[in-house]
Amino acid sequence: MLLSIIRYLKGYLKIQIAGYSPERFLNACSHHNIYLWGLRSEHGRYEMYISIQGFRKLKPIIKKTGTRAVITERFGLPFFLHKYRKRKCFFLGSLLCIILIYMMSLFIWDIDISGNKSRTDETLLSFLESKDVVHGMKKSKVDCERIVKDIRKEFDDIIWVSASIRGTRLIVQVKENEDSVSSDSAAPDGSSSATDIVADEDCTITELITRKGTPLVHVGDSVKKGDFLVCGRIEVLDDSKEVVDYQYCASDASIRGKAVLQYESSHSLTYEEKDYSGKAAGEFFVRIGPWLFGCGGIRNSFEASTMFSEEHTLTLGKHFVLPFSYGKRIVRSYRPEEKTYTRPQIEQILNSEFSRKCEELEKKGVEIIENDVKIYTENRQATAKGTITVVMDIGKQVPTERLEVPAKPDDENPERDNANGNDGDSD
Amino acid sequence: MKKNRQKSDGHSLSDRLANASGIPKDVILGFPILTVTGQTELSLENYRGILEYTSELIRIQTKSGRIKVCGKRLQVEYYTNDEMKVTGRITSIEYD
Repeated sequence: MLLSIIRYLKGYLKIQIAGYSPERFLNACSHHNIYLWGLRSEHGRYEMYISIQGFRKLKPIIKKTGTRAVITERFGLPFFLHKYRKRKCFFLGSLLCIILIYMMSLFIWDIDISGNKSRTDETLLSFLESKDVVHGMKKSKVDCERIVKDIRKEFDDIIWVSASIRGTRLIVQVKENEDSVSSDSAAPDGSSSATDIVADEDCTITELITRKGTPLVHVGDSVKKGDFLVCGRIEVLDDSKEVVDYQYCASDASIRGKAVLQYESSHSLTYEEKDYSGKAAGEFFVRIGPWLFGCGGIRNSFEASTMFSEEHTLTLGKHFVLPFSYGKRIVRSYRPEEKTYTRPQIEQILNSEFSRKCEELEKKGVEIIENDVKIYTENRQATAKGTITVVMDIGKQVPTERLEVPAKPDDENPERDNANGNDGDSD
Repeated sequence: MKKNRQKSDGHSLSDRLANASGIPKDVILGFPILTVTGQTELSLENYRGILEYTSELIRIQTKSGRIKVCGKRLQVEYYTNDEMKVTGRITSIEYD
């Protein structure tokens, strides 16, 4: 394959040899290192292929061996170019093509971001845009080291960045800190700010497992919103059960409680239905940058109308948005009609709303044990109202109040020790 | 005549030398190497030249004798100083 391409580029000939001793001619060719291929012998004539360079060296051999060589066909690029030498536009076009390809290769056509999981491509792209790294910028203006530094500076959770240019593509590879969640929760520890857990709902505690801190409530206790559940301050007691010091920690506990949530949702009984059986007007449009060119007319004198618009933006690759878009717009006139929901319809709407809410709660790990939601229908609207009894995770972290270690007992301690000693003595 | 027989029996001095030294005979004695693939391809190395070439017969001169290749539609794929390749339907290969 490669050989045939090289042959084509260099050009080759098909020649016919006739004469007294063609074999001698062949041997002479091989002796002079002239490459021959595709030999074919027919009726005493020999056809073969020979390169242009080989053919130029042929003259003395032909003379010596007394054969005649006739060129029957010419192949290859040199002959092709010679044949079409008068087609100036063709050469101009090829030249233009080469120049265009070269010029195009001077720009960044695609920014490829990989390795990001929590940060979206769009976030990173818009950040890069704010740093003047955009699609279509000149390749020579890209400073990969700058990009790496900027990204590392801006995003704390990205722990490794690599930026490189391959062809016309800027490749940004990032590595995110996968255990960033635990490090977040560890951060308060590090900054030595101890935390308490307080109730974020009125509830009755059903489950309490404390891993760190002092539990202040028991299973079965009712707590109000804002009550302390677990304290991050652990008292250090001495022999006489008096506080000598406090140790602080970030409280950690699994607490579940039974809470009663209020639910209310109302819906109007009447609604407007649009009857689109009237006239419509539409147009196709092309948007180039800020200018919009439409063909057709969407000017109208409709009393009430809705515009439906469909726009496609041209992109190169995945993210390179070109300033061209096209689409169509249709304006449809409608006749508004006021309609009323029937009772089953409104019930269904409210029911589906309620079950969606329940699903949302369940997704958050809330267990619904009882619901007491009823639908009330009035003149103009219907309302679903009531309470849901749930078992849910309770508690939010708040910073622990730091207390001064009570100074009095400390001061009295030696005296008391002495007193004790005295007592012992007297005993 | 006697010398010739010795040569063909493989007892000449250079032959024995080649045997003893373990150097390939195509290097020392200039024997031709024929690689035949099926009945359609023949690669030939270590030859001196073509004596006769038609589409039914190719005669090749080598250092140690002549080789006659008979067949149909014989064609020389390429022909250089070191190697040649013959394609077509080969019916016989003979040593003169």
